[in-house]
Amino acid sequence: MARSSETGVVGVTGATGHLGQWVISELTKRGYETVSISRTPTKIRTIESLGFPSATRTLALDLSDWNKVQQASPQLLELDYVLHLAGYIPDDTNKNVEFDAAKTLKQNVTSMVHLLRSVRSSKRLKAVLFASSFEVYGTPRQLPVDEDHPTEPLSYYGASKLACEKYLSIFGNETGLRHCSFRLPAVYGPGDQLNRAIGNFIRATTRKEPLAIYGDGSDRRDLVYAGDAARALADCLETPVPTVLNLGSGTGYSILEMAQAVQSLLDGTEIVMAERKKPKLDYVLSIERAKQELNWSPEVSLEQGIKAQLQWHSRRETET
Amino acid sequence: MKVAVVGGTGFVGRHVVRRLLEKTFEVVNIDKLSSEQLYPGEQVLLCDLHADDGAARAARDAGEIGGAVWLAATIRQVTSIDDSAEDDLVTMVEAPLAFLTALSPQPKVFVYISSIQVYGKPVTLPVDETHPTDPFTAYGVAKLCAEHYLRIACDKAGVRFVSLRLAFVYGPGQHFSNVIPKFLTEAAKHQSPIIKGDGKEIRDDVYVEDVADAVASAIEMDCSGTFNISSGQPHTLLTVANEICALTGNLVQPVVTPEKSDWVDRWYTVAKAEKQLNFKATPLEQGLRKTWQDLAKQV
Repeated sequence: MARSSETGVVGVTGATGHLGQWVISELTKRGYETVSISRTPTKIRTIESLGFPSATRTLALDLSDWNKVQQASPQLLELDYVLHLAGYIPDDTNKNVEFDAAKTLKQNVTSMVHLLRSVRSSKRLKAVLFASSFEVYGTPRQLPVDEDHPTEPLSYYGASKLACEKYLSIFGNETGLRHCSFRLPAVYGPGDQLNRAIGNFIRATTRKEPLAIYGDGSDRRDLVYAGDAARALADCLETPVPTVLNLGSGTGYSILEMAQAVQSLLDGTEIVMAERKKPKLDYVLSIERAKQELNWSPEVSLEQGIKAQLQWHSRRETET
Repeated sequence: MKVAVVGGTGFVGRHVVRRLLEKTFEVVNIDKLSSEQLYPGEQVLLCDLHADDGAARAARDAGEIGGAVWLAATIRQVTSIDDSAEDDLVTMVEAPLAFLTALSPQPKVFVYISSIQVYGKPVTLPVDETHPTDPFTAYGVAKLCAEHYLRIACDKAGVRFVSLRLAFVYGPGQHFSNVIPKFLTEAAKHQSPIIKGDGKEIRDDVYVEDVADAVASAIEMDCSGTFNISSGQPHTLLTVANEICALTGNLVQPVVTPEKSDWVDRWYTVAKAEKQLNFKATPLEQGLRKTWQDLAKQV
């Protein structure tokens, strides 16, 4: 197949997921060929309505199955870059149910080992980038949390992402290939279907319910807009990067600010305070390293991001 | 109290089983092989951790236990991510998790035998428990992964969790391919221990009975978290070789080679274990002497 001389073929695992669709879009814009690697590549994409392009090709593959990964070896060895976004994320990572221990190990950790083994002998591969999570850090000892903060995950999910990062780092040292683990906070924007703060608020508005805040809403959390995260990942394909990089808003937002941003866009939305369910927790990531080493900063404001997500949501509602 | 020692047939396992029996614990050794020399009172439960449901079945068969010690592992120094990486994940992460989950009732304490390989290349010396964890071996990644998963699982289940990060273990019963028993047998046979490089790299070898003491303390004492279990005293491979030659009657002297060694200097503090586990490291000379006394009976 003809290839653009400047760019190349990017394998994106989890390309049908929320961030995955944004990444495919960003890479397509930049002229890359993309291969959507996913267990169910034919899954209906949630943001088609925004005119997002599909991947150039698809490869149906369950990375947790080594035999299948070996069979897919010829296709995997054709890739110039791998963007590994696939992973299992529990509905509530803090619950740490038994099922999630086994599933995060298999779907996240074992899959990472398989992926790295499968491309180890590649002659074309230039970089492997991995979507990790802020959950690798555990309880913040100081704010904002920078990349040198100790890693003491409190969830199986966080522990699985940390193990993946470590395997990637060994792989990178061994092969000399460029590699980076992006520690992402909650990703929001059109296509977001997870039960996280913004998504919950938006879903409440479509049901004409008030926005429920547990506690006084002063807890600060971090967020990154999917388009901003996708831009950072795409930038790193060609740029030498640090091996671990936080992305985020840089400031964090209080839960109340998030609710008020939704309220300001939808007349008549009510905010109700309910009894606090969890202890107060502030969580803000430092993005100084991304600013300095990658010249990356978030470009989409909270208001703009929520507005886009609201529009996507209402368009979907009318379509279905 | 009954204690399950998973991997009680291996080199370290034999010493742990013996020490726990001496402390009057009831001990069940869960391993794929039984030892040729069982200790009086030692119960054995054969189990293949790679079999479907193997770890969970062993947990059910073990019955009610108060403490669990997880030693089962395949010792490796392989840095690559190859088929052994997945094998390690099964033996050292999935299996202990499945074992813990299947124990009914839940034990009071779970002791996981980890490794100083979780630290990777030291950024400061000596390395204490707050040192960053950046393993450069796939084995170290699996151990680190297990520490986190088991800590989370134990916290949730109300089980006290202790992780012991062992330095290089030596002592009676160790396989001859390891450097200390190898040097000892060679020196006794008038063969000079050959050191790759100048032998000046710093290493940390811990005597196996100290490890057994640390495990017993971890079960008995009300502590939790991560502990280095090492000699706490830095020494060089040349020192080890010189001590060995002296012990075996000065028949030979160590030989150094002009090769460049890729060894990374390692030295781990034991202050935390001394304080919370009453840990006391056996001095190198004394540990080597005991190892030699045991070996001399065989050669």
